Amino acid sequence: MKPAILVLTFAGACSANGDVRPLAAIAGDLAPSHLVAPHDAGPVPGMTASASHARAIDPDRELALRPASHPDRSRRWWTKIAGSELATGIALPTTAPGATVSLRPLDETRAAVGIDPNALVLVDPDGVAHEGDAAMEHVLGWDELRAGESPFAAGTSAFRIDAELGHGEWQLRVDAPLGESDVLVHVVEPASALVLVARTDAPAYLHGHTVVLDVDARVGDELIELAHATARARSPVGETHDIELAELSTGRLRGTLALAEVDVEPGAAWIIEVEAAVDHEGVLARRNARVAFAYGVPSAGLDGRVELVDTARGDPTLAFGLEIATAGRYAVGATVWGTDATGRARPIGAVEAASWLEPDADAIELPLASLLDTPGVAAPYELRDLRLVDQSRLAILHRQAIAVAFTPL
Amino acid sequence: MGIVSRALVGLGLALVPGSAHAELGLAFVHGTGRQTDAYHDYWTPAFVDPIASALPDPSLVAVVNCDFEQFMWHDDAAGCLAGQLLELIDGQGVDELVVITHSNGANVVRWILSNPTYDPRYPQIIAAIRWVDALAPSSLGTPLADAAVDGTSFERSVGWLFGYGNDAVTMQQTSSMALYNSQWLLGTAGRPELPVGFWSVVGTDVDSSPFDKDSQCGGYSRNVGLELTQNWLDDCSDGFLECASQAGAGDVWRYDHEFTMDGEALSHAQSRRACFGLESLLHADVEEAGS
Repeated sequence: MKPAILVLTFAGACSANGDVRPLAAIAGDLAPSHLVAPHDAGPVPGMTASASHARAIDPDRELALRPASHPDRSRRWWTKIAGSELATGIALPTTAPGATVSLRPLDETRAAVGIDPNALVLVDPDGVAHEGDAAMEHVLGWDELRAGESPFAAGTSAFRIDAELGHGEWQLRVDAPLGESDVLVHVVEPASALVLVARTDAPAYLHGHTVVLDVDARVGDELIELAHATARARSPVGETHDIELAELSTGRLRGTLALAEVDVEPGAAWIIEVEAAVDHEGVLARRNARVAFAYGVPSAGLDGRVELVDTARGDPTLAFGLEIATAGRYAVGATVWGTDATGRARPIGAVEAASWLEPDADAIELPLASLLDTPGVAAPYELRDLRLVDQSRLAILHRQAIAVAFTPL
Repeated sequence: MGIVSRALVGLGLALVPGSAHAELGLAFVHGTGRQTDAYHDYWTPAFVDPIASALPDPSLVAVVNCDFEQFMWHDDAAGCLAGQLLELIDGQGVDELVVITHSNGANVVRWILSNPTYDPRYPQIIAAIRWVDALAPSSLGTPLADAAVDGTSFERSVGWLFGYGNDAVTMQQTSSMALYNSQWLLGTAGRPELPVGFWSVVGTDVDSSPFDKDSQCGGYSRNVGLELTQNWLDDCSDGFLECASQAGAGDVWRYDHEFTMDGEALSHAQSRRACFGLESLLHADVEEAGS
């Protein structure tokens, strides 16, 4: 993702209150290229009273320059199977001993009672059938899982395949009438060396941005060829999009997704699910992975103007120029850095201020309280991790690793 | 991570130091679920009462009842929590507060601590909190939530497909918590620290032997379920959360074996009950806050 920048001009400003230098957002920062009025599902929440907060932070704490996306390194897979197929038996390929398997009826009536663990039959890779719990460790029905207050849905049963019986082409059968309704079979193989990795190129995007999705399969550090892979995205409001994956090199796939949704579900994330199959030690092994990313419709943007302004309280305050497409509660926040005696930048505080703003507002103020009086540091100061937030829609609209350098008079 | 001295961490970081003669209160914040009587149903009097007795005025206790099946920012979650904490602060004159959380309750508290301007009530609450004792917090999410949601992400409209805590389970997927930690929450690696001390107690194992009376504490059947769910987790877990998740925000105060009787492990069901001396640890902690 290489976001374009809304900001029109950047110029060092030597005002009556000091020298303030806004810095341009660069690759890796989050910044809108345009403003869009989101489609709100209803009246947006947002308190109208203004609030601000400033506090000192540990100058020795290691802070990341910018957030990174979180890859899913999956050793699990899942599939939806008709109950009638389970009655005749399904393939249950495993790549390591001790796989944990759960079965979840996707039918509300069946879910009320679950699948009787005593009706399960495992057929090992040598074709030997093991009835009941003969090949299982830790078999639990829904009653036991429910008692454990697990997050699993009603009707889920689970078991672990006896690790001493090895791995390979297992089969699973249920000797009980399940009807035609679907059952979700979920397998996790914690001891497996086979890992499906999925990751996006950023943790957050805005309307008009393009997500880059990278997918690979590995055994240890070695990339291995994928026999099959698909990816599908789901927006916070439920729109789905297939993502075409193209091979970059052996074992490495990439897909892209252009984001243009304007409907808002505050705070909810997009998700992408990847399904893959890999030939591994004679078994067509399966893996699924899921990644999440944040998304915002740029209802407002910083216009590049930053000034040190006088306020009634007398605290140093930075004012940020703003363009607003639609009303909401907006916040600006950042970490404040000073320069120590060795010339090294050190974090000294965190600041945040929020107000309800109408489209005709053209600035938002960020009081710095007494942070600039912190002993041991002096100018030049910096604002890092600068964020413009639409609190009404829980979206970060601008996030810049190093945003402003300033020296008050 | 070993035992951290709480007296030394955070000194000099607050802009407004606490008062030496403050009125101390105590709040219990439950985990995922919609509670209406958390005192009896979630915590039990056997856990709450001995800890509250350490307060200079033991009546200054709030056992919070909110809907933590919602996303943490939801008005029925963080908004409800803020309202009940303010009842204690404004309504009963508490000006310093020790907050004890369990599991996902820590995430809701962390939302308030991390987003001070989201709600104009938050700054007053943040200023009043002395520290948070986070019992088994789900700070980095849990692979159990991944497994519970796997295969249903494209069928979210079918609410019954999820276990209890629909949106809360979605939120506690490892991928979702990584996202929320990087976007909205403070206190994890690489992020600014929280504005108050956030001290986690980490449960490391589950024991559900029918021949061991210790397995009865917190409910034998609960512990049986948690022993199986360890199969979804790594070698150090309380049956619901991996130790890394419990230690993922703030500072580790204690691993279970460092303070429990005979070094017993605390399962996820036991870290909100009077098991193996947990209530004594917290009693001493509240006593220290009030001294």
